[in-house]
Amino acid sequence: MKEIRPSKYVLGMALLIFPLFAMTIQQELSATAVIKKADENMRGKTSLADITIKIIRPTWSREMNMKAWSKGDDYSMILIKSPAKEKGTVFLKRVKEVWNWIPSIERNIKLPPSMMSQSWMGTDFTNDDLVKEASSVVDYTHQHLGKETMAGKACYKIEMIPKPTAAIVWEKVIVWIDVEDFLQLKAEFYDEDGALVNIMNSGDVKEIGGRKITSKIEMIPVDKEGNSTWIIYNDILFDEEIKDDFFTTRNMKQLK
Amino acid sequence: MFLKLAWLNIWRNKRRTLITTASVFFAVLLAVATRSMTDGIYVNMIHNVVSYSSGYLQIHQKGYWDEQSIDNTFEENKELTQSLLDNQDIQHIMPRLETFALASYAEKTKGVLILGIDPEKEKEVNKLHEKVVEGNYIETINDNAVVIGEGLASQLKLKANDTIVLLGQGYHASSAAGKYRVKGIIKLGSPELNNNIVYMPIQRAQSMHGAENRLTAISIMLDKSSSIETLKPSLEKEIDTDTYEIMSWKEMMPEMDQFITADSTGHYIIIGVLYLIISFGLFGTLMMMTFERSREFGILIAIGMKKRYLAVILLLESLMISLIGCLAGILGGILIVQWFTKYPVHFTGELQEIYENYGIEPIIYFSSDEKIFITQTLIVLLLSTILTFYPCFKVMKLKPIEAINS
Repeated sequence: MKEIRPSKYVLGMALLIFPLFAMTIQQELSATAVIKKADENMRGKTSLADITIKIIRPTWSREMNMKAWSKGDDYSMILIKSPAKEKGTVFLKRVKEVWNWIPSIERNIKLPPSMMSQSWMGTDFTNDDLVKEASSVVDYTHQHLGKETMAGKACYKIEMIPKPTAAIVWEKVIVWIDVEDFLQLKAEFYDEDGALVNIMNSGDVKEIGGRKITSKIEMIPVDKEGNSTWIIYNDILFDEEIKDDFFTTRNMKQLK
Repeated sequence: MFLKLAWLNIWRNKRRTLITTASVFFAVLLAVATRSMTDGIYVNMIHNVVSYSSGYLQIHQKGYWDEQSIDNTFEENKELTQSLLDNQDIQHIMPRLETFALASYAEKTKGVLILGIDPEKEKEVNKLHEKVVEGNYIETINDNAVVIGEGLASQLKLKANDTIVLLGQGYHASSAAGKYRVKGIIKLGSPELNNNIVYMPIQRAQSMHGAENRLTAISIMLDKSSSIETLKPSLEKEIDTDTYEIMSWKEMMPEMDQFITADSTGHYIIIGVLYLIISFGLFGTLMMMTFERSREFGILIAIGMKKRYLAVILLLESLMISLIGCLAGILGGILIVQWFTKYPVHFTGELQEIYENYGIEPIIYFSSDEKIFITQTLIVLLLSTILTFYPCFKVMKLKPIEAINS
């Protein structure tokens, strides 16, 4: 019996050590996996969101309210609900196309590629941001840069470098992802000269639609002092069934 | 005594005096006529271009000119308007909202200049309604219709009473989109305006851009002859220069100012040559006179006339002749200028087309600015006075014996 003892001891030790070992594995989660988790967190199969956008400029500010539907990476639809002047304006993103329905002129305009890098509705986001052709998971290579504390939370700091085949204007993007909830709290966008262009801060973590998400996203263009755009999720519903034929130019005109 | 002598002297040989007077007369007449004509053309050109585009002076929100965006507009201000209207030199003020947008009709789309205007004021100031070639002019600020340039209409393949779609950027990032009936098509001289302009009642333009009661500029129209150089500083004292900026057409359209300067230099050279010819003509007559009268001078000196006095008399004589010539020249000049002001010269044919392409009426106007008369007359008078020193000099050098024997 005496012989078993050490083996028991070993087993005991092993049982004690294994969880520790497993934890280290968890901590050593590959950068790509972290990004994937964070991406899945903010994106369901489908989503239906009530969003407020605030444009902040040095001398004025403006608030818009909108409803947004999305399905996977390919389809999304945005309906502006206020202010009254823009009410009824609809944006449809279908694979790589963006359409814009303007009720006051009864026209549906397909945004030309030349307009993709222009401001969307006067915000600090471009039309291209809206289309988000690039997937943060597939189109980038990811690398750990260590951990940092951001807004009191431990975060993975990950550098994302676009793959040569991806059509992405950034040289690199650095993101901070919360270790616990896998929510992206901050992102920095660098241009091809290595200069910081945009900072995106996310915060106000809330449980909406059965998920924990960052309900406030702030986009700050670095070279324009005093300018920023807030996106606030007032409500969001994930994984509701939306048919593909909802995302048609015909449907844009009757959206409510 | 000298005056009487000089006066009698000049009428001793009437023909000689008349020839000299005539050369001075034509000199003044020519100088006045050319100067008045070129000035008239410039003034008219400026007036034409300026009244359709910027106005003589414009008041903007400070910083607008450097960044011409709808966000740099200012609120219409009763006090400002009133203080401008109280100014004696200001004939009209015109509120304007100027933006760029895309215009579309059927399959065609084109970038355009939207000019929100007060239709009644434009009608009064630059007779915009007379330029309508198809359809009608917009009558009131509430008219929900636009008037577009003929070139633009033909590019969009659009006729009067069609509906044009306009899409642009509104105030504070709002959208600016609207459908408007094209009430009329307007033909403007400047191809740049003709191909791009959309005139819209200002109220409509403001609501389209979500910029209620806001203006990009107040255009100020002055009388053709008013001086911008003196008015601008005086206005700058009246308005709040921390909020507003005031600019003259020269600052807003430097290319036109430069064109005028360059063209004007050419005319100055021509006038210079004219003066040279005039001077030689005068000099010739004076020289002839000195030769003809050298015997007379010799005798006068021989019988005890002081050379100095003789020189003074000669000086007075030619001054008198020049003055007579100048006065006659001014009278003639005034008549010519008045005639042409009443019956301006209309160009025809090719020249007319060239002028119209530049956006200028094909008419030669004469400027009746009194400055022209005064300066031109003074220049001719000065020339003839300088030239008179030649006979005086000759008299001072005269040797009586040689002169009498010659």
